[in-house]
Amino acid sequence: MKRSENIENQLSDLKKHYKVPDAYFENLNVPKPKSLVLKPAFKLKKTLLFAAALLLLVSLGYKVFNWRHKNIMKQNIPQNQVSQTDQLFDDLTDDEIIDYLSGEDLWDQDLE
Amino acid sequence: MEEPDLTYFKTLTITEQLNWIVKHYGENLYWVIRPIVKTHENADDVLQNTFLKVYKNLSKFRYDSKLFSWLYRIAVNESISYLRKYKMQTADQNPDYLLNLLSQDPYYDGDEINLKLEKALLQLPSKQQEVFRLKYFNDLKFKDISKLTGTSVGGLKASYHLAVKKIKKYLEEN
Repeated sequence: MKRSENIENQLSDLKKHYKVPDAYFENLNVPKPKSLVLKPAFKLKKTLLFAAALLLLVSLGYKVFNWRHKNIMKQNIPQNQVSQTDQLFDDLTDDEIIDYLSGEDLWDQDLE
Repeated sequence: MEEPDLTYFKTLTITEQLNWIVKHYGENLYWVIRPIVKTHENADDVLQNTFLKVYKNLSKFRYDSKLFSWLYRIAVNESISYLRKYKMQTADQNPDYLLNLLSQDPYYDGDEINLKLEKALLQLPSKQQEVFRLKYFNDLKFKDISKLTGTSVGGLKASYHLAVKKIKKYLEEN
């Protein structure tokens, strides 16, 4: 019984060996301003970084898509293929081509 | 443990509420944390983390439990997370590492016998350690510890006496 009482005394002395700096509790304050102020700022920074990364990813994706699309289109058009305009001129006489280019034909049609 | 007048407390802004908590519970929370993380430097860090967590979650607190019980849980959880984060592990997994830190702490003046007693305490199951911490570091009575931990006074006393026996045995064997 004595022994257990002795241990209890020792246990109650445990705290005495734990020291704190002078006036620590008197100077205890609301979290250091930086922990309260910097955290939301850090959050905002993180959000902005995420948005920038997302934007970069989307624009990169768009560029890759465009580049691939152009490549596919190039592969599908034979090199010697003539344009629709060229085909149109093939069927016209020289005079008709001149009329067409000067817009005369259309002008006359409108007047009529 | 002094509880705030809730009708007055609820009218305060979050920052004012935190100020009240720091002023009234700061020292109690420190003594919840210090015996878990051992050194003053660790305890100071964890106390700041605890206040920060409280600041972030105070608006969500519904006052279903006592304010200090809620703060106590946050402080204990923050202490355990801190030990894990800085690879100190929980004290019962790696008592020597923490005790080595404690022996080097400029804010600790215990001798070899005290460190042995600390080690004996760390060998106990976490529930029994909790009773000791609250009894000797927070100067709480079994009745108050019961309110805080949700364990009956009888259960706490049984747990305490069993723990004293274990410590005694440990010290005799070592």
